[in-house]
Amino acid sequence: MKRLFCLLLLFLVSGPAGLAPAAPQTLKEGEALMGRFEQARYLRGFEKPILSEGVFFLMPKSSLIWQTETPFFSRMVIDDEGLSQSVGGAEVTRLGFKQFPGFKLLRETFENSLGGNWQSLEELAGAKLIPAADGKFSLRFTPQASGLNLPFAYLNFSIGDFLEMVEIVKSNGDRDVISFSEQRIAPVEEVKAAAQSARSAQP
Amino acid sequence: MSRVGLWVYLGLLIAAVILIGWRLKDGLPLDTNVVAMLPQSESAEWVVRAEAAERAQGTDQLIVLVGNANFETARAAAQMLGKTLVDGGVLKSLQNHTGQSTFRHMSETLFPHRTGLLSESDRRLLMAGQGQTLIDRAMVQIVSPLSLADAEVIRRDPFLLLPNYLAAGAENSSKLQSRANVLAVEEKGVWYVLVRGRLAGNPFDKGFQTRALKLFDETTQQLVKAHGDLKILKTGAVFYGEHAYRQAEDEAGFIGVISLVGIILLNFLVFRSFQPLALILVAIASGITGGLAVTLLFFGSLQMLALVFGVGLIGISVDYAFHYFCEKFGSGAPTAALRARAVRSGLTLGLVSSVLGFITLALTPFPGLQQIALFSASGLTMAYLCVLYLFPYLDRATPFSHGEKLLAASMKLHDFWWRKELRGGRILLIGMLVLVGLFGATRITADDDVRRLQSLPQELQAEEQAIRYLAGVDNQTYRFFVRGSGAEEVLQAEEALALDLEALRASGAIGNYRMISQFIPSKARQSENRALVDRALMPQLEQHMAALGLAGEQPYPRVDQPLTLDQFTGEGMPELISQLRVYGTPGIVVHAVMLSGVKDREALARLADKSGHIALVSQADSLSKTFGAYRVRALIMLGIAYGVVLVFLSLRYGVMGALKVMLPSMSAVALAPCLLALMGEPFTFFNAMSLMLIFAIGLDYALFNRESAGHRQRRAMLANGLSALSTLLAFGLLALSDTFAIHAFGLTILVGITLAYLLAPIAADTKNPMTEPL
Repeated sequence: MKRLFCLLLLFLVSGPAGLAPAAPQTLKEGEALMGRFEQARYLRGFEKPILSEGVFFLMPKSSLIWQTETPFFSRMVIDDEGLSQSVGGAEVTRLGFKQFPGFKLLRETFENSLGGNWQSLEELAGAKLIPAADGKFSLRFTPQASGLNLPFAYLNFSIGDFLEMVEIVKSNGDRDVISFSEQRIAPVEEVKAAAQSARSAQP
Repeated sequence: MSRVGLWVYLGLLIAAVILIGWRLKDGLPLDTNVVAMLPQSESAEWVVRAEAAERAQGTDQLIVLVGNANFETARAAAQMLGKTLVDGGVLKSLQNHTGQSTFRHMSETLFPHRTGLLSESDRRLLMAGQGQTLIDRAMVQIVSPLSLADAEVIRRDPFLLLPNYLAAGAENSSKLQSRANVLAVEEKGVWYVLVRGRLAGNPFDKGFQTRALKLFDETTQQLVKAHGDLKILKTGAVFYGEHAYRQAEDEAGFIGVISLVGIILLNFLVFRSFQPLALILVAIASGITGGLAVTLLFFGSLQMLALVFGVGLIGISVDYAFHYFCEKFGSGAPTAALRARAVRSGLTLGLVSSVLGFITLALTPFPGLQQIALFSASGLTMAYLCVLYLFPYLDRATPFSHGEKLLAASMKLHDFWWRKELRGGRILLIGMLVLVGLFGATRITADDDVRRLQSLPQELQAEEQAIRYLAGVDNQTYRFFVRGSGAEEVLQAEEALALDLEALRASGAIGNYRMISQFIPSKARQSENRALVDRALMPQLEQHMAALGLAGEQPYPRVDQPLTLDQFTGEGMPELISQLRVYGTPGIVVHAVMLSGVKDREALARLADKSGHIALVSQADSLSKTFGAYRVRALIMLGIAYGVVLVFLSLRYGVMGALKVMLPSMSAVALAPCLLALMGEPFTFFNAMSLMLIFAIGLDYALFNRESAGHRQRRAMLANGLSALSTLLAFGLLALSDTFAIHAFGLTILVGITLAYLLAPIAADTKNPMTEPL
């Protein structure tokens, strides 16, 4: 009885600390991710934020498709070569990583955070995921502290099973808040097909 | 007379020693830049000047990549290396800025002029009335999660004209990225950090090379000790120059030693006395002292190739001494004064013909060959004075009592050409030479490829290639030079050229091009652009601003003054612009247009042919073309030299007699390239220049045959044999050189001198000997 009491006491004492939040999900080989996003750009001196929302498709080590549905349809594809943006099916921007090597790091940051590859980001940020009381995690990445020249002061990641929200803060006070929802892991081919279908749905 | 000659010789020698001592007080000013020995290209004057200005810009850089698996280790080692090289006086300054401050400065300077700055594709869209595409693009870029446009930019440039203009022009072929205030690239788990700087000295100056290499090697060794596994990749003219010097030094040392050992052996075998050797060395030393002093006096520094070739001078200057000492065989010239008198005619005629040959060589516009000519002509003159005016005072020994066998043996060649019973052999030999010559002539192939000029060290080339691969830098072989009377005219010419280049890029004939007008358009183009923006975009501005939630004043104020190139000076000038702004004097401004991924050179050449203000430039191609032109010119000069010598020798022998004396030399000159062709050797400018030496040395052999008669014939033949052997030892050994130019010299002379020696007795005239000295 005494032993049982001690065990119970030990459980009660260590319980809350021992109940670590579940680790965020990580994409496995052959898996891809899709979901929705909402973005708010808070630009200093602007009356209201610039809002946009749409769907995203992440095929790790291949491409990230970012399709905006409101306020207007546009599609951004980031692949190994670089970034291209199109409106109504017509390409309006193409930036190669060869032209802008810094973009490659941004792409990796995006891909790693969306795909749950937090270990790489922890190494890059020189910091660990911090468990929060609600069973979630957070991570702050300050490029300059890591010796990187990126046009951001810092990025705050809020992480549940997947990346739930990222706040991108620039040194002049501009701020982007991107929230993610309805994330679903599926085989790469299925996500590709979904991306294709979303593309066809553009007006 | 001989006393005057002695004082002249001693006076010149003392002056030469003083001059050398004064010039060498800071070390031997040896120039290892092989390109510096080349003539200016055959291009137009403005292209030549621009090329020279560009070369001066390009050769004084040192580039190093320091690699380690850990970025911080690579960074620390790279920074230490850079600092040590600057503190040690090797680098003037480090170009370690990541380009951000320059980019910021450029953006700030361009910003007020943004409505006048449009990329070619944006211009086309606006001209085609597709302004909405640019507005859509701005919207997409503003809402993009990777948008780099901040509130300030969006408010003042809601169409994002400037960011897109800069992006269109920012063809960054480099893979290096800015990280922790250095430029770095990661490859296969290794971080490479760039160290780049401008040299504080001349990369082809021997003293600077030694200092730079010593400090570089010491520092990298210390860094490897301190940090462990470091990968150091280096490139720069200073490394190539140092290698070229070391190679020349090694070869000169090797060839010089073999040559000297050969001469010493020959001396003991033939003369069996120490005195001739000692006096021969005095003649050699006089020759080299005279050659070096005069070269330093006129040129200030010594070309690497002239030094290596100067070693070969030993082979010729010793000829005169051989002729003098061969007079000690037999009883023909029992006193020193008589010996000097006996050889004076042959020596003088030989010297004059050689100097005439070298003067012709000096008329070529190759600075290196001018040095060789000056070195040889002045060196030979000193050796000549030494033999004729110093030897008689120092030569106290009695005539040799031995040597009958040698004299008899040396006459065998003479007999071959003059004995009646050997007529069949002569006809056979001549027939064979004619046949071989004719067959060889059909096999001669000219090769003027400058890339063969220097055998670049594989190790350094591999390091350069690795740096190019890691940094993602294309080897830009071709570029255009665009000329105008001022910057505005050049910028307008660039813009016209860009239209053609765009078409070539679209067809895949070229990968890309960079020109200043892509950043700073001409005033006329800026004015056109502003009108286009006013017409096609400004009517949509209010609606666009409303869509973005922007209120307030008009973001595009009117600009009164256009953007000009003069607004970028000094540190604020982007590196690309300073690279492309090649040359500028009042009345002539030249910009370069860099071309990458060239697949169709002819298409570019056609573009250049369209305008006298545009030139297609490739250093390798233009030098190769120059070599070809001067190869032909060298042969013409050789013909002129023969003409001059014919006139000179006709004064003594008559026209037919002079032609007969010149026949062995002319035959050797004609046959040598044919035999080389049969050996698979190409005929280059350097082979053509070597023929000049065969002409001069071959004439010497023939002249001594012509000037000697009776018993002197035997002594002249022996001296000729010794001369030929020593020349082959000195020059023939150059054929072993790894430097193509030197190899070509050596091999041609090996073949040519052998022929000249074998054919020299033809010049003798047993029926009409020259009995009167000159």
